[in-house]
Amino acid sequence: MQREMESIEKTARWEIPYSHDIGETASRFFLELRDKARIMATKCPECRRVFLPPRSYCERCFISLEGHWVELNPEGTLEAFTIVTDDYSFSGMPKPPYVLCLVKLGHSSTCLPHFLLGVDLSDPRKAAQELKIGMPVRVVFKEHREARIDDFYVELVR
Amino acid sequence: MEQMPELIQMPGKWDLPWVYAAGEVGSRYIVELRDNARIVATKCPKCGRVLLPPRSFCERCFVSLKGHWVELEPKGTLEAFTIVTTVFPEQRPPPYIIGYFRIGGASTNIPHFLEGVDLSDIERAKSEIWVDMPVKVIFREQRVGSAADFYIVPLRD
Amino acid sequence: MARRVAIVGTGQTQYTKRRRDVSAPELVHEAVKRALADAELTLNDIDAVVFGTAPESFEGVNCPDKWAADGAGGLGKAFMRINTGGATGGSAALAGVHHVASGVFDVVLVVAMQRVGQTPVAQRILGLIWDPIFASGFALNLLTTTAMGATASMASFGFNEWHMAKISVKDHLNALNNPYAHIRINIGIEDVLKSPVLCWPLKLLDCCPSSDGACAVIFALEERARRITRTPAWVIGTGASTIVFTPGEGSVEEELVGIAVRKAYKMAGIDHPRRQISVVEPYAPFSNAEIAYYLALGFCYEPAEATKMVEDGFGEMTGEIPFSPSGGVLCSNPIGATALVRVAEAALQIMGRADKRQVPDAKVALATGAGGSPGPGSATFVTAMILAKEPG
Repeated sequence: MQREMESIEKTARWEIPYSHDIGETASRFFLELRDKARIMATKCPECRRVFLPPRSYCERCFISLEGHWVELNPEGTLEAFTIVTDDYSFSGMPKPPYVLCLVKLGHSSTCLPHFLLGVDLSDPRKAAQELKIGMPVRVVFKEHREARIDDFYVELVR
Repeated sequence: MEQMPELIQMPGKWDLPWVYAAGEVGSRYIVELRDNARIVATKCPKCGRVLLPPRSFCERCFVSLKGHWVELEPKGTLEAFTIVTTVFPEQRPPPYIIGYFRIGGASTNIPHFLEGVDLSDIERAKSEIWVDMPVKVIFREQRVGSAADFYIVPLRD
Repeated sequence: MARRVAIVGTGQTQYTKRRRDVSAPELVHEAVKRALADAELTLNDIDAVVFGTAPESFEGVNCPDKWAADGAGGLGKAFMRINTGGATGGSAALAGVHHVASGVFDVVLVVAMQRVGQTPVAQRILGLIWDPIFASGFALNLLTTTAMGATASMASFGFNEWHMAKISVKDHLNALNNPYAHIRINIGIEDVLKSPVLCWPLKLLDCCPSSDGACAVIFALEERARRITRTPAWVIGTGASTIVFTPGEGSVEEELVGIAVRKAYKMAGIDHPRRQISVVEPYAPFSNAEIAYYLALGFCYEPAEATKMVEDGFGEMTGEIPFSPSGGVLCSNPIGATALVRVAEAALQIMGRADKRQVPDAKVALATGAGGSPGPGSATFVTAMILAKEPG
């Protein structure tokens, strides 16, 4: 009688380091955060859309946005959110619960993903009911900045 | 005049674990190496090709090869080779020889290291290996269930 | 082919070790803008986009096609990503031709991009191809497998390192005429022979570089092509094939180009390639590849003849059929884009716009692509495209 064939498995690991070239436009965005505590965006001279994060071309008008920089006010609106609770664990993310959101800042046409602070998460369901699209948010710059997206945090305006 | 902007690089990392299944046919190959020190292959009932490593289908005839096992003699020929003298991350330190080997008359060749060649003088070593050179398979005493449970050396008279 | 298709414009970026000044979509955008400008078209003229890039593990970003889509002009358009390893650019070009020939789209933009500089371990990433159970742990990567192919070829063709060096010198000197080329150095045979041995017989100067870059090519159907440019490069033959084998198992012709080129010749009505082809931009990332191509493309009938042809300078700019007037893959290799660059360079030859690297009166050009490398778990994809001054 043929015994059941052993099922062979082999484990492996891909550990691949990267050094991402973010490009000139994105570099300027982060340097402005770090050195001047200001949020810069680019604006298309044709369709007038304001891009946050800034980009070097408009994908609709297909023209270059080089040189078309605008500063954004460090306040905006909550455009979308989710509350990540203990039920889901994503590696590399903060310990739940936390609010992941999309915000418009200043007069940006596009949204920026970020975490939303200043929300009482002791009862996530209750918090979810109370958060509303369109609520005002503000940017708070950290004292010590390193040209990273977390050089500032976004909080609800109360 | 505007000076060159500071260009930022941001670090990233992929740290991904994998578990590869050898499959039913691949598992039998590995288990036969480990437990019985035998090299087994599958043979296509239609075209007669002998496939090493074994697979469950013939890619030309597109028929199933399950159950069509053959045992191969643990010797063969060197079909192609290179002497590696450069460091590749996570591989053994050079110099070493890798080659494609036709084992037991199989229709396909397998990649493997060629051991048993003195590489202290690489120029001299080049004259001791050649395409079509006879080789033999030697099973390790301790086998763990891996394609490297045997090693290959020149077959010297 | 159902409808006649021609290339009406091309765009390339400077191939270089690492582009620090752009993100991936911005790099793609550069090539696309140049192609549109070359053809004097706007985004509104483009009906679909075919995008090519090889494994995302080079970029470190999953699905870089999604990231680059808007820079490629994809907004609102049918968009498809192709990945066939080194053949990616060639497969993408074929897809572009088929999109137009089918009658569904009139003008199609094909763009391919690769950045190989985002990780220091690119060769290790290439080593992650091949069967993880049977082939891993044996130091297989593109260098070692090519080197093994070379030793097998040396045995059957009779060429040696000197012949390989002669090809390398030719390509490097040709690259000096190509402003887009990555490696532009003036070298001689001794330089190649003395360069560091990586895995014998491959030395540093026998091998392609790792390049960042993007290339875009615009295909149009006949009626549109004639209105867009006075010098369209007509697609008169295409072919593709998949090869599954290891060296020693198949013939060299099958190995290098399978039946891909023969399909393209048949479609183009080419039955005496040596008399009918003016110039070749082959997918030849290592110096030994071209020698086997002389046989595989039907320019001779015996392996030993191919070796003699190297000695006679067959593929030189002054030779019978110039190979790689652009400097070829040996001097620029933005992997996923490379095979499309071959198509773009072949188009420039036909359009008479190859400047200092122009082959005089080039009438019919052949561009090939190849991706993958032999061994368990790796097929090789081969593509071929023939362009001509006159439509078929």
